[in-house]
Amino acid sequence: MRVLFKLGLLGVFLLLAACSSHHAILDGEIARLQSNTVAEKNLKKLEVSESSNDYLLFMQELARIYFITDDASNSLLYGKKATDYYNMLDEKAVLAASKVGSSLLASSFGSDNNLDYTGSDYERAFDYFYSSLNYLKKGDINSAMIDIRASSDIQKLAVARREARIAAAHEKINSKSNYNLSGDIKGIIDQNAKILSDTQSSFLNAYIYYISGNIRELAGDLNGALVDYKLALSVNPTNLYILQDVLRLAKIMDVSYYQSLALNNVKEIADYKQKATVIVVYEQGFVPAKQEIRGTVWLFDGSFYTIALPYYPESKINPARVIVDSFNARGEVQSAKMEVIADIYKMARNDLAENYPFIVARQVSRVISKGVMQSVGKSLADDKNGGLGLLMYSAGAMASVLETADIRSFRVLPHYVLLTKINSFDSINKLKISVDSNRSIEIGDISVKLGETAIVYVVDTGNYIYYKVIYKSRKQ
Amino acid sequence: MRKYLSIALLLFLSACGGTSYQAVDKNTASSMFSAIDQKMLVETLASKLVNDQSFKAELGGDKPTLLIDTIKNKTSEHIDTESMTDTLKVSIVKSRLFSIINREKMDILAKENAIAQSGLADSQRATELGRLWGAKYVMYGNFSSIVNFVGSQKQTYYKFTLIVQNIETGEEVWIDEAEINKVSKKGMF
Repeated sequence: MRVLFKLGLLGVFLLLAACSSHHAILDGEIARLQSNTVAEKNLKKLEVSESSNDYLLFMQELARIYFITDDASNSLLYGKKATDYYNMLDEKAVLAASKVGSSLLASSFGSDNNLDYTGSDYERAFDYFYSSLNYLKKGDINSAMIDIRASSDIQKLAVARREARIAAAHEKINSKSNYNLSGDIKGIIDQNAKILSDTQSSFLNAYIYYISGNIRELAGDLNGALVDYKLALSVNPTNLYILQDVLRLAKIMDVSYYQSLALNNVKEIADYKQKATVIVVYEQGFVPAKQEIRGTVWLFDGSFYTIALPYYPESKINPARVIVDSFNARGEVQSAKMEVIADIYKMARNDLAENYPFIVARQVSRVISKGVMQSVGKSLADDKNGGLGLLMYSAGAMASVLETADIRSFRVLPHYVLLTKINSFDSINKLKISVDSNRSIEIGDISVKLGETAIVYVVDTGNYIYYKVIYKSRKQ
Repeated sequence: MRKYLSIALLLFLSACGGTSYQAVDKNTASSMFSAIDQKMLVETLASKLVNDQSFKAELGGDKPTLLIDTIKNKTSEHIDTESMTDTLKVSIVKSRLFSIINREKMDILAKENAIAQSGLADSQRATELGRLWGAKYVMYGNFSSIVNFVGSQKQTYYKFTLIVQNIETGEEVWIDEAEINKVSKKGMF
């Protein structure tokens, strides 16, 4: 009997331990990004097979890591694996029966970590967006435009399904339950319900819209560019650079819209043909990881179980103060302050809030099933099937004790995105980017003449700053 | 004993089991554009072109020179439009309506590259290219898509437009389009 008990414990322990920790792997990679020591051999850990629960997540992380380290080819490779997987999820999929059984069994006794990671709309939009930037880096603006359009489609999809999802979430929140939750858990649930009520949707991304608008404009699609600038403005109505671009393009494309904006005294900028233009994008830090909170659920029959839920704590990180100095050939300088265009952490929190009622419902139903298993096991242990009963009892007890929350998320995305757009009546030869007055980098190998546009990417990991010129247009 | 070991093993194996998928039927159930869709659209338009009697009459039966320019991919999917151009070329060569210009001269290709990056509109660019190669007609196309979400379904409308333009007059002497609508069967929720 003692052997059977040990076997039960072993089985559940293996069940819960078999999944490698996403956080542990990503903590390592983030540390390597921060010390500029990313190595292919370490990234092999993320190259899981398509049957892994974490396949989509790791493909996204790999694409982003390679983007940061300026390896456009590998970034495209893994980004495509991620977008292909999303496309497959869009289609009518047939779950292989054996996999259904094992997946459900695993999630019933383990946690949501045992379910396949299926991502979210804002993450998917980023996959296409970074793919587009990789194509730009390779000088293929036509392919870049294809992924810009795909990213727009995803944001349209998110708009289409958001309303129904929010309604379903509110219905879930308001539905009667046959259980009570401990105070700390209740607090987290209420916090997420508040986020759900307060915020705009998780997917509306002024950053993607604005850079998409710029890429469309560089590709000659002025109509599309104006639409994207307007969408960016609807999400972030006070950003100076978006306002200026809307005004500039509206003057060319849409006179009535231009007139309404002009009334608001937005400073007009000249057409790019007369200027050297550099767009500097500064991606700051990484989206903080989800945390786990544990509490208790009481059923009305008096039994109680452990519950574990994911949550995002309040961020303690503020946007950096970033100044970009641009120098002409004579060494004269023009300075611009970067403005925040997106808080990706906020988007991640909103996305979690939209899904929270469903996560809670799934957790509660799982701990109840574990409880039932314990209870049946206990009664079996008392009769002639004692061995099996003890195994079930111990398995249920261990699984309940080791209940874990699904804290997986796309972690290598930036926390904040800031940008500036420099328009100069002279060519731009050098940039100096200063962060919080205590760190700076110089980009000396840039030479943007009048009529040319360059897009510069800066990724600040906290300790190490990566930069690259993504694109430089020919003279218009 | 073996039974209990099996249960423990099952729990272990199922922990990271994941889920695998198989498409129901790639040709009919997918909302994504397939190779079969591509062939169908190109062959539809090619057939319309080579069987258009009034257009044939206008050409006069003397096999004028035709430059086949690129088909622009304006969709949100990476589609091999070079392969579409090749399929189109096969149909046109078989029809013996035109003498197709072979774009192999390197010095002209270099100039062509400059025109391609000039930012000209499709029609102007095609005319410039046609002149460069000494063609009488130039053919170019656009492949675009519109994605809509109706209820819980994703619908993608694909449209392939083909244009033949007279280089001298700039007139679009033949234009037609073929369409296909793809609907995902899976709900979005």
